[in-house]
Amino acid sequence: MRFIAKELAGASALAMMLAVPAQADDYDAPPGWGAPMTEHYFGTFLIDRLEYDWNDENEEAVVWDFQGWYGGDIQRVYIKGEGANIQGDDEDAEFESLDLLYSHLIADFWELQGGVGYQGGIASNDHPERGFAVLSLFGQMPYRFEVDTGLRVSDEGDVSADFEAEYELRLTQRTYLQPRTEIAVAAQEVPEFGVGKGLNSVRLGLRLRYEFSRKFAPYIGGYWQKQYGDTADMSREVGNEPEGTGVVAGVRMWF
Amino acid sequence: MVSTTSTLSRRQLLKVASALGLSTAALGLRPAWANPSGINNVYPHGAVQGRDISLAVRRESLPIAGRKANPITLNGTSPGPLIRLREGDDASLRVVNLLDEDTSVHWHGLILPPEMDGVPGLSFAGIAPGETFTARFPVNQNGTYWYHSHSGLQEQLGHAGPMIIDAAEPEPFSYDREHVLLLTDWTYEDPRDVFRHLKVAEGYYNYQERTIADFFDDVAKNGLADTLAQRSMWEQMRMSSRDIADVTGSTYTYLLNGHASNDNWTALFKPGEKLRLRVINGSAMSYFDVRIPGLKMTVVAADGQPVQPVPVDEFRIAVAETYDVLVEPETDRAYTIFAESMDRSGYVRGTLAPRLGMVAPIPVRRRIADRGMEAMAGHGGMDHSAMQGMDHSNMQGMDHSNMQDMDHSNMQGMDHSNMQGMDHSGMQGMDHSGMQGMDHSGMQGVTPAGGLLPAGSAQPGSRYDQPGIGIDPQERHVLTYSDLKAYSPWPDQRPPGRELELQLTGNMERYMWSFDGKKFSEVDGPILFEHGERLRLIFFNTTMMEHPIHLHGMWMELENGAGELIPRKHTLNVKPGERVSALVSADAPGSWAFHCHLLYHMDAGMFRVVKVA
Repeated sequence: MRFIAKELAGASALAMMLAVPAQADDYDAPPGWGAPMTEHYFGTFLIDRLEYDWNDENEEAVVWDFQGWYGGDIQRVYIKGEGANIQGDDEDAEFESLDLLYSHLIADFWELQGGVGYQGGIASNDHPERGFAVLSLFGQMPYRFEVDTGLRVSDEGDVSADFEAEYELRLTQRTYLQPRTEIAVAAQEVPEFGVGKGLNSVRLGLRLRYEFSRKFAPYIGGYWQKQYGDTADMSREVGNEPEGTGVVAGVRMWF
Repeated sequence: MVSTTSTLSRRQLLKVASALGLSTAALGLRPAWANPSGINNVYPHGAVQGRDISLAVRRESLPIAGRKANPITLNGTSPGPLIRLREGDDASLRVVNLLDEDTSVHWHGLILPPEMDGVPGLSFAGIAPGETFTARFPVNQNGTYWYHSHSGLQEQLGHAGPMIIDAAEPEPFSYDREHVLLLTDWTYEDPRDVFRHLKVAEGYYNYQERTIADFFDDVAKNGLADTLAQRSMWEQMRMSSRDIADVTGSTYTYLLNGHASNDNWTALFKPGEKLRLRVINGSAMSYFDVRIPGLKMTVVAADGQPVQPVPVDEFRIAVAETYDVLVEPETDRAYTIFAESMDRSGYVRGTLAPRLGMVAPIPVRRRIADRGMEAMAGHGGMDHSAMQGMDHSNMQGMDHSNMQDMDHSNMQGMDHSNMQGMDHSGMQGMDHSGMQGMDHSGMQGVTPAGGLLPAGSAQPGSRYDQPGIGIDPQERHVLTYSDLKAYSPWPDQRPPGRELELQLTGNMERYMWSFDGKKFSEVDGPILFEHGERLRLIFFNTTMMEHPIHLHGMWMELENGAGELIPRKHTLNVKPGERVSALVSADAPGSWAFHCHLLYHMDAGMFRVVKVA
């Protein structure tokens, strides 16, 4: 929890950076009339994945992946979170990452984001905790691949990176097939978090989604994942298989 | 020319409101839903006329298309009543704000003093709740116009209405009966939610996107290689070729004089009569294609200004434009007035009939079209190498009618020299040095100084002879900007002394819209016109969407190649990739709004101030 306080301090500083640009006012309008057009700020909260996961080790988990933002066209503040609560392990939910980021549009389809991140439990000490400085490139590649990459430096100086990409194949006006991939790498071994040096893991997933509305879309899907090197060894040591598959059912929604 | 603004007490307010209600009721001007119109009743929501007109602006519960709605009303109706003025009179238009937020009324297309123009923050402070503003100005023009709020997104809530100015002198055409056809787009959503959806989720309202089925259809029709080449071009740009309208029939109910298709609003005629239809697009976001199957329409005015008669079967009306057409139904039968949205996601129909209760068949809607290469003219970042050997048969705006029997397999490279209706000049980006060989000999006008094109001549990159996306000119005769010729030359025949080019810019993914890449909140100051100068405005649309560009306070004379007979307009449609120019006589000192008339584009920042000094 100690990192949350830091993040909140960062948030207020970031909010102040969203300054209103100066208005064109040399068209003889008296003060007090206001501008004919004003800047608008918007916000949204997207739960990209909220799913129940059955893996081939007979382990069940609730998994989530969300992002919210507030701001203008160029500058925004993001909150992004990914995590899971493994069912029946008597442990609290764990955030794999919970990031608070300042975001700047650097190209038509790309945002450069920077801020602070947190990994660990939220309401308990069931999980080890650490904080990060996060730099992220977020956007759309040509051919519409949605990409989110993150470079993280932990409060212990450990460096890691993750890469996520999604693609949406429109089957009908409301049905989408979404392949996605996640790749994690690390520069140092961090045994406390089960992180080995080098390539940590690769995950490939496929989801079929139906949009009852743009804002509410249940889906089903499956994934394959594999851990590599020391990361895989560490998994084995705690009795987990480094390679496996799973099926998921969930919902994508936003507000 | 004095405005009176006063703050009323709540008690006074109620008095004013009831007085207005009484006066309109006494004059028989209460809303008359499903009321057919005739010689003295040209519009179903009543008319206010004379030298002293009042409009009470309220938010109230009122059914629209049979569903509970909460529009902004003007004298109790939404859209508002017809305002009827006489050329040569002094208008006095009193607007009483009974909303709980500021409002305003802009008299669209009227040439008037800047302080009467109704743009908050520019003409005046706006009308605060409980306050009254009276717009007084001499009426020095005639024709078909409209009025609407210029505050926030109020226009989307129905704060709009038609305006007719009767001519002091006989007009160059005659008619027996007239009807107003006001087209609007209504949504039951809060307009602020619509705007947020556009900002947050690209394509939110588009349920006509390409799917995997379209891909396989194209493969079957054109082969895998061609299909992949075409699709990869769009996918590489991360854009949709089906992006024709930002807000569609998935949320909009399209209305004709406030009535949805099922209401079947009916305009009456007697067989043999000549009717003048005053068509106004008062939509927030929707372009319409208007036709009356079985009747030829003769366009006699555009944006209120008389043009030489053009007989057509159909015309596209951009947001904020007006067209006056004459029709002569000879037989005792009903005709459907059919206005189809440009993206084919919806339509509204009414009926032209000798008696109430009659209907005619409703035409089948066309399928949404895919945008073609002409839309990409302004898209500099595109890799044209992907276009080698492509099949263009699905592309709108290019005329392939003569290519039916062509074997595409032999089509090497990109030779389009035989293709009609497709203009490649805009595809060179901004480099027009290659255009030297263009033949301007057919163009009239005086050659201005500085090597500019002669006044009235069409810019390279213009596509005035094309009606636009989704229209097959072979199917029927559709009005184009090339057809518009002023009835007689406009008084200022000076060549332009200079040119001012503005790029229409945007980022569809983020729903950012601007001129020259800068939103209104980012610009340093106004666009300066020198008082008395004659200048050429050039709009180069680098986006993939149409933009109806509106200049307040002064006419824009559309340089469509008609020489000294170029038509004048208040709103110019600029197609994707197109370069359009207009001559302006900067004869109106003051600060004027200049913007894209798509409501959410304007609000997103596609707005500038033009200062004439």
